[in-house]
Amino acid sequence: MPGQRPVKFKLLRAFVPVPGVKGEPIEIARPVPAAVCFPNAKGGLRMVDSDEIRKLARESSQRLTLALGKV
Amino acid sequence: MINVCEYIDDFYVDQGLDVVEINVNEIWGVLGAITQQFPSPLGIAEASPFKKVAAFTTYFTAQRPIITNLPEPRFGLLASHQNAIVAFSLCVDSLHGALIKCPKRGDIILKNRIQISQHFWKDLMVMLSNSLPSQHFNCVSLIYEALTYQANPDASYDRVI
Repeated sequence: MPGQRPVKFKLLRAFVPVPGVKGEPIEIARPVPAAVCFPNAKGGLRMVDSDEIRKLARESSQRLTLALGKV
Repeated sequence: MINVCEYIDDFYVDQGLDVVEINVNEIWGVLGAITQQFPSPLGIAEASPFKKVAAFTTYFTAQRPIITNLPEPRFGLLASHQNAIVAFSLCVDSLHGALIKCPKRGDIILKNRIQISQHFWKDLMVMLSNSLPSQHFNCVSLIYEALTYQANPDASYDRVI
């Protein structure tokens, strides 16, 4: 069933939910469809894949850095 | 869940931080609340993209899942407003290219990204940091809608009042 399958999720470089297990692959059941974040149903937000969301985050972060300099 | 964590991760990596502490349970809470307690009678399936991002933003800022502050030399007094900053950034990204399905006007793609001034951004982050879904959902939705239509004037309804 779409959105219900478990997904392999390798902990991210900067993402440390549990101290001491950084870098360890874990498996997270996904009861909430990914489309919750970027649903493409009615009035839909853009659906993006993992690589694109990382790219968007970096671009937005860089945009803020350039815009702010120092607040 | 993974999308949100990946977004936070790369946002912080780009800011030069090696570690960001995230309360995963709170992120689950945000995503669960959006689906189970969407703050509009329309429900998440029928809601506009503006209501969707407003629900995400207000639940995110209320739950505060990101514990690590942003770098103070760059963000100053707003360094502790990381949840509002990341939520707004993610929502602006997701609205860029979003599709509005209007029964009367057909499908409308929001081609242009929201852009705001530094001054507006600072005040908005302070406001969003104190927002709650029960009190500010509609206001935040209208802010997203107004900013989106400012960037995409052709997507707006006719201004008749």
